[in-house]
Amino acid sequence: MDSLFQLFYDEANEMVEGMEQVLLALEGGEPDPETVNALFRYAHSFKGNSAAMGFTHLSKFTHGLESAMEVLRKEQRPLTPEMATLLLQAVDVIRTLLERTRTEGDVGDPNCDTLLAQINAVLNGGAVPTPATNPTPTPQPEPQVTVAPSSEESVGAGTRYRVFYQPAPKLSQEHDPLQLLKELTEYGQISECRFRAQTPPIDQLSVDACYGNWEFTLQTEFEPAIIRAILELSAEGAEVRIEPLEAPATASASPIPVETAPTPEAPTTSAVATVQASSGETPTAPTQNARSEAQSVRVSTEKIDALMNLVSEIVIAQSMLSSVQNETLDERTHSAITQMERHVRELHERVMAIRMLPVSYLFNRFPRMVRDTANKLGKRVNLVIEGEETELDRTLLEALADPLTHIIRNAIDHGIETPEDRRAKGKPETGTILLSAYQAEGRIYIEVRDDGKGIDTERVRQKAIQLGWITENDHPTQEQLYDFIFQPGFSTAQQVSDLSGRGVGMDVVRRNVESLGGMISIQSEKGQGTRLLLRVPLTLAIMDGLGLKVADEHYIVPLTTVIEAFQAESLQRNALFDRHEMVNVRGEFIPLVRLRQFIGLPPNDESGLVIVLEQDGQQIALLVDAIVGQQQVVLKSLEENFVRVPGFAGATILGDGRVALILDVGDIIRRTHANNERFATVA
Amino acid sequence: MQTLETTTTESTIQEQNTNKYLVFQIGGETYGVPLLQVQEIRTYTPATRVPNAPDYVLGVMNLRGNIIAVIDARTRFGLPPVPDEQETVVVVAQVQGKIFGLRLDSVSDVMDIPEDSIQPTPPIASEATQKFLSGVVQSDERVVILLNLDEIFDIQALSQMVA
Repeated sequence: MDSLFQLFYDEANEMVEGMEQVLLALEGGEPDPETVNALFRYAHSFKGNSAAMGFTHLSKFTHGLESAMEVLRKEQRPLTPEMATLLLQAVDVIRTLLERTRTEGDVGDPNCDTLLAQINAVLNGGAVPTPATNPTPTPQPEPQVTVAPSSEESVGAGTRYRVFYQPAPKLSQEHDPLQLLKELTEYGQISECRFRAQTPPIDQLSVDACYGNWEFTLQTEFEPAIIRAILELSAEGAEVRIEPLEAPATASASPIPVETAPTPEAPTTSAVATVQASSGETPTAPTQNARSEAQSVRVSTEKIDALMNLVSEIVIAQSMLSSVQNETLDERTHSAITQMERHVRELHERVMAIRMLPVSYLFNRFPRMVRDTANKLGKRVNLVIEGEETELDRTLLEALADPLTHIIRNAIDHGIETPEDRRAKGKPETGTILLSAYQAEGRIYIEVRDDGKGIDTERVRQKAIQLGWITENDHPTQEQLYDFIFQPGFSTAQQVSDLSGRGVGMDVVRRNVESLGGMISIQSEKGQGTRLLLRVPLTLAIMDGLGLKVADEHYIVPLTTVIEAFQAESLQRNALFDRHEMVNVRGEFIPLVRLRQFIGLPPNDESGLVIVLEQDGQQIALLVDAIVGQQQVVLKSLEENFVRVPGFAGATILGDGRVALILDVGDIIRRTHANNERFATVA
Repeated sequence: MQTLETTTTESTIQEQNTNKYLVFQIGGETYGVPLLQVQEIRTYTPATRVPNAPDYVLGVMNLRGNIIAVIDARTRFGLPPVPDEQETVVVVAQVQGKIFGLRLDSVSDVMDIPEDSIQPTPPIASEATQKFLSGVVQSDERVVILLNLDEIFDIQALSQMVA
């Protein structure tokens, strides 16, 4: 039962996202029939699924939505911004309903009906030819003309409809005609109700069948679509006809009423305002989805994570096996171990591949966010997404969501200018934000580029002076100025907006990215725009490391940070004020960190190796006793059962089962600089 | 281990007020920790030193793929350390959702201790060590000093010390 609900929610969430994407894609563009169809299908499957789960409010609402989209689909109308906003709101309502369904059970939301009414009003109103686009009345505007005034009228006393209701032949708990009719009284007044029985011979009677139909007059302020939704609820095959009673031109001869079900009695000659009953659609509508989904299996992420953990254990066990290889082994065992090593590596890669998701999972949330944020700020922003098929480890994707959201918000809030400013500067009024992802050198790069006003380095400098970080006489390099932006407590926004000034600064963004083993860099041209580049590893769990040795202790440094290594004796060393050691690597001075000192061991003689490490474009030289070799390591958390240890990113388990700590190069660099700066201020 | 846990559950049902304690000796004294907090007992293998950690943190070890800290009970109580012996064990226990290992000279027994026989600790120890104790029990000929594992593996204090 639980898993059924879970399946429903998983699917529902996907559908909500899908609807949102389709809506955003449709907006402003040509009404591509296929995308409108997709939208319709989403609403349709949603209705079906929620009805099957017994979520009446959800299915009622999505049914109304489906009806609205059917109109869009039939008429191939472009999606007006007004309509798009309404439909996006509808998506939000679905989200709310979903969430409430999950927590509170089958409950409704007060927004549902008003929103549906609004959508229908726009749909109906929008079809009326406006003077601007079509000055001469089209030959068939009658249906809308009859509808529009009645819906305005209905605000007051309500409109009277003649309703014919033939329940689906098969009754069920969710579909109890009497219950539905009772519910209908909450929406309006029922009068002149007539029940027509159609009882078959007694030997053909079935317990769960309905033999008869109703016809009644309903006075309601609600749109016919809502009334229809209530009556058709979760019942495939119900027949509902709603005709406005006071509409002047309506006669039984011409079937132009607001809504007409495609029943044999009422052929749908006028498709304009017709909503097709769900019954005809059901079996074929979601076929396209079904076809592509049949190729894949839905697996919970927990299962994949468990599998991944197991593979990590096998990698460790494998390296234990490999380490005994050198000792006396017969040839068969030896070759078996070698073979297994190969398979384990492949197994690891395949399981990794399962965890990989296209970055579009992450990027898809941004068009909506950009749209809303830009609207709120009165800016015009076009978000261009590239490389959304690039694949990334699932855990990384999740961890990147917050930093990226923040960066993009910043770009809109602080980067992109208002349309007026842009016009004044001779730029197109609509700003562009480019969000792209690509893979290179075994890493994933994610770039956020805007064509806004860029970073005003002078203002950054002033702010730094104000904060007491530098003095009036200091003229930091551009790189150092950019680095200020990532420092805690820095924000140049002249006014704290409710969007980006919420206390989460770029320092948090950088910390988040670095905790993923990634880095972030910034480039900007005043007046031209800003470019933020995030570089993250392909995966978090397993990485290539370089084994180091100091005394009898074993440490790992991430291979991605290693540039080169030298014999310590071969390098010229200088010590600033006898304390801050530097090594001269081809004329460039790099701060030297003695690993022995860093981990609190007494210094040895001056022999050993110097490894040049780089992170965030900054380098340090690390003096170690020896290099053990390159190895694949499984990253394990120290914090999970212990505490965060400064200078270390985590730990791993070596081939012999012992634990080795993994150096956090970024942290060591920062600590070294902090030490040097403290010293500089004292001097 | 499995059987130990089973009997614990049964006995708590039968006699509400008696709890099982894992009993061990450090120096000449007998100490006990609540068995419910104990996960398993392992032979001690040298831990990996954690730089800049307090001296009573021996380091970290691998517990079936998880990294856990190992605390040396003797150093924690201000006693001189003893070299590893065959009987040296690590008692794996859980406090506040975190698992850690406590290195002990040896473990000797599991004891049923009725709750009402636990007396408050007499003010024999210094205040620094007093916080590790949660009570004293007189049982037959011997005195068992009950330990408070939450204080021995004080994660809040540790996270400040290491950082």
